Amino acid sequence: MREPPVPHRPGKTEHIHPVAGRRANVLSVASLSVLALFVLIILWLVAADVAYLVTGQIRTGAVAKMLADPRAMREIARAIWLSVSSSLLTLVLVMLFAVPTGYALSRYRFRGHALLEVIVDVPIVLPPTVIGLSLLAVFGLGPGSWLKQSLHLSLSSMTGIVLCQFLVSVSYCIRAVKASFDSVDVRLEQVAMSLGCPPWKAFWQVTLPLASGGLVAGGVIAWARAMGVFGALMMLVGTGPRVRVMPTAMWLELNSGNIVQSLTIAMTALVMAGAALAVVHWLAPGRKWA
Amino acid sequence: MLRIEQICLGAGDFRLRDVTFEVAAEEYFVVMGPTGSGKTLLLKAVCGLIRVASGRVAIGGADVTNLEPRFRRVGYVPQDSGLFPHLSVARNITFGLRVTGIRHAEAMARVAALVEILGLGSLLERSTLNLSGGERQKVALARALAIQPALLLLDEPVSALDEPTRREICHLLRRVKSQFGVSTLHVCHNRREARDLADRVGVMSGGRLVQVGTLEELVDRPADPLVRRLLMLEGEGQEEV
Amino acid sequence: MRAPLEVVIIRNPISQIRTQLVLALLLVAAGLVGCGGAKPAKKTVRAYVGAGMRRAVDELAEAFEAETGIAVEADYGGSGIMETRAQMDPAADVFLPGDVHYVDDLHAKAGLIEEKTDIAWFVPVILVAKGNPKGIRGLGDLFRDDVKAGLGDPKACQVGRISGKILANSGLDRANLKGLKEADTVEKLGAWVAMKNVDASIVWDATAASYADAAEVIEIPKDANVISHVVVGLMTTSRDKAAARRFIAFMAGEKGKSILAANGYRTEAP
Repeated sequence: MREPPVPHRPGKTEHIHPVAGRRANVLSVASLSVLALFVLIILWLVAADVAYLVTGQIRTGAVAKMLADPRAMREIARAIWLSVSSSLLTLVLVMLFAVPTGYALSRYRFRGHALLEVIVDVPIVLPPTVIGLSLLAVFGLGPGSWLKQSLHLSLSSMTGIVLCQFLVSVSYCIRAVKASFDSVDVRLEQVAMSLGCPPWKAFWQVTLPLASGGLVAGGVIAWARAMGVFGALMMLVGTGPRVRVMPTAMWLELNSGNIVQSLTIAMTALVMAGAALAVVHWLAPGRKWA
Repeated sequence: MLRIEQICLGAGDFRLRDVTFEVAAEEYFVVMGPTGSGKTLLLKAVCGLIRVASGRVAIGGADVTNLEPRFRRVGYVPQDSGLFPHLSVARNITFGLRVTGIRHAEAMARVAALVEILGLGSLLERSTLNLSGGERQKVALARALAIQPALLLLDEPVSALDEPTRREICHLLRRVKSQFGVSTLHVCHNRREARDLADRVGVMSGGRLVQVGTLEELVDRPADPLVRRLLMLEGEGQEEV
Repeated sequence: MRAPLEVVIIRNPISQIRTQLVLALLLVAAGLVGCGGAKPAKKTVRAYVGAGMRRAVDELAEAFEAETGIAVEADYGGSGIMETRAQMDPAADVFLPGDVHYVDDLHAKAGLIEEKTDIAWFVPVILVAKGNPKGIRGLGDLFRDDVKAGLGDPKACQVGRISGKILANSGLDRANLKGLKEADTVEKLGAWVAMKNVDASIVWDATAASYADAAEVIEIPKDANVISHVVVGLMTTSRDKAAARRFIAFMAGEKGKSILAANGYRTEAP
C-alpha cells in the first residue's frame, strides 16, 4: 500500500476514457454505429417535415397562402405564445413541488417510503388522457365541483392548461431531482451544519448547488413534457380559441385538413425545443463537477 | 472541554452503549477501535449529527445534548475530508465564516494565519477536485479551524494517506494543537497515530468504551484481551509497511 | 503572480451566478405570465362543437361577432368526446355535435339540453369516380366482385355508423363486402374516390360537393336512406341564455344559412 487511491466520493466522475486512443474494437464500433443510426433517424424525421413543407409549397403554394392569411398566422402565433407561457408557468410550479418532494424522498426514510415512491411515479405510468379524464372527474363532483363553482374556476383556461401540464410532467422531474439529491453526499450537508449552517442554509449553500445539474435536467424533461401534453388537454381543456396550445392547435389544423399549418407549428416547436436545449447546455451549472 | 456521560444511541446496525469519558482543555484524545466499533457514530453524536437516546454531552461546560450542530462550536473533519466540490479551496476554508457572518477584517486575519501555518498559499484558487489526499486533509483542517472551534473532531484523518504524507499531516496536527490550543477528539484504528499524537487514548469495541488511559498504561495493563490484541497486533501489523 | 487573498476568497464560481440567473429568469417569466393572464371580461358564448364542422363554425362565429359584438368561443373535438366533456364539465352554452344522436344522448343521460334547433341535414350518397367507369347504379353494385368499396369506420365517424343501416334497409349485409376499405373520416372517403383508390363509397352530399370535379353522385333511394341531422342544443347550464339564443337564431337565420350553404351544408330538410 504505497500509494493509496484517492478516496472515492459520490457525485464525482473521473473523465477517463475506457478505451485509450482511437483504436477501433467491437464495442466502440457497435456503440458508435447505433448512435449514428439514432441521430440519422432524428434528422430524417426533421428532414421529412421540411421536405413536405417545401414540396407542398412548390405544388400548391399552400405556404404562401398561409403566410398571406393574417388569421392563420395570428392563430399560430397565439398557440406558440400560449404554449411557451403556460409551460414556463408549469415549470416554476413543477420545480416548487419537485425540489422538496425529491429532497424528502432522497433524504428521509420512514414507514411507507417505498409506497410513496410508487405513488409519485403513478402519473408517469398513466396515459395522459386518463389524467385528463381524472381531472374532469375531480372537478365534476364533490369537493372539486364545489371548489370550481365557488372560485368561478373555468377548466378551459390557463389554470386548466397548467394543471394538465403539471400533472403530466411533475413525476419525471421528481425522479430526476431525487436521483440528483441521492448523488450528493449527505456528509457534505452535515459538515456545513457543523460549520454554522442551519439545515435550510446547508441545503441552499451545498446540496442545491451540487444537485443543480440534475435539477436542470429534471426541469428540461418537465418543460418538454409540458410543451407536448395533448391527451390530457383534449379531455379537460379542449380547443377553445383562448386555450389552443401548440399540440391541440396542431391536431385541430390536421383535423381540418390544414397540413401546412400543422407542420409549421410542428417545425416551430422543434426549433424552440432545440434552442432551449442549447441554452440549457450552455448554462448547465452541473457540468463542471457532475 | 468535552464531557460525555453515559450516552446510548442506535443507528441502523451500529449502537453506542453507555459511553462515558472526558477530554480536558487542550488535550489530544485518540479513540481507537476496530471497524464497526462505533467510533464514527461517537463523533457524530458529539457533533450533534445524530441524536443520543440517553445520556449527556457537554462542551466547554455547557450542556449541548439537545443543541443543533451549528451551536456546538465543533470543527468536524469527516473521513475523506468532505470538501465541497463546487467551491474553490479558498471558499471551502471561508465557508464557516461566510455563513455565520464573521466581520470581514477578522475573517481575513484568521484565514491568513491558517494559510500560513498549514502552507495552503499555493492552493487557494484551485478547485478541490484535483487535490492530493494530503492537500485535501489540510484544507478540511483549515476549514474546521477557521470557525475557532472549542473542540476539533477528526475522523480517521490520516488513515488513507501514504507514509510521508501521513507523517507530514501528523506533524501539522501537533503544530495546530500547540498553536491553537484546541481540544481534539481523534478517531482511528491505528496505534501509530495514538503513539504520535495522543495525550490519552480510549479503546472502543462493540459500541462500548473499554478502557481509557495513556498509551503506556494501556500497553502495560490492558483491561482485557481485546485491548491487548488491538494495541499489539493491529498496530504492529501496519508498522511493518 | 497570485491574486491577493481577499480577491481569491471573494471570487465567486461562475456556476453559482448562472444558477441564480436561471432562477431569476424563471420567476420573472412566471410573473409575466401571471400578470398577462387576466383577460378583460367580454360577452361570450361558449360552444362545444364537433370538429368536423370547424370551418363553417369559425366563419359563423366571425360573422356573428361582427354583427352583435358577442364573441363565440368554439371548443372543437370529436363529437363523442365533446358529449363526455359536456356531461362532466357543462361549462358551454351550446352543444353542436356532428349528429342529433349526440344531443339526444346527452339529454337522455344528463338532462342538460334545454331546447334543440335544426341546423343542417347530411344526406348520404354514393360517390363514384367521374364518368362512373364501373357503371354503378345502386347500393347492390357495391357488392360486385369488380368493385372495391370504401366505407367509414362505424366506431370512428357518423357516416360509418349510418352506412351499415342504409345497407341493411336494402336487405344487404355490410359483412359481405369483399375488399372493403375503411376510413376514420368522411373526408378520406371522398379523397379515395377522387384518387381512384376505391371505386365507390358512401359519403355525405356535402362531402361529395367538394369533390365535384373528380367524382359524381349516385343518389340512394329515399326509403332506404338514413339522413343525418345536425341540431344545436341550448344547454340548461348556460350562464347567458339570451346571448346563446341569439347565436342559435343567427345560425338558423338567413345569414347563418348562407354561410352553411357556402360550406356545402344542406340547410333545408330533404
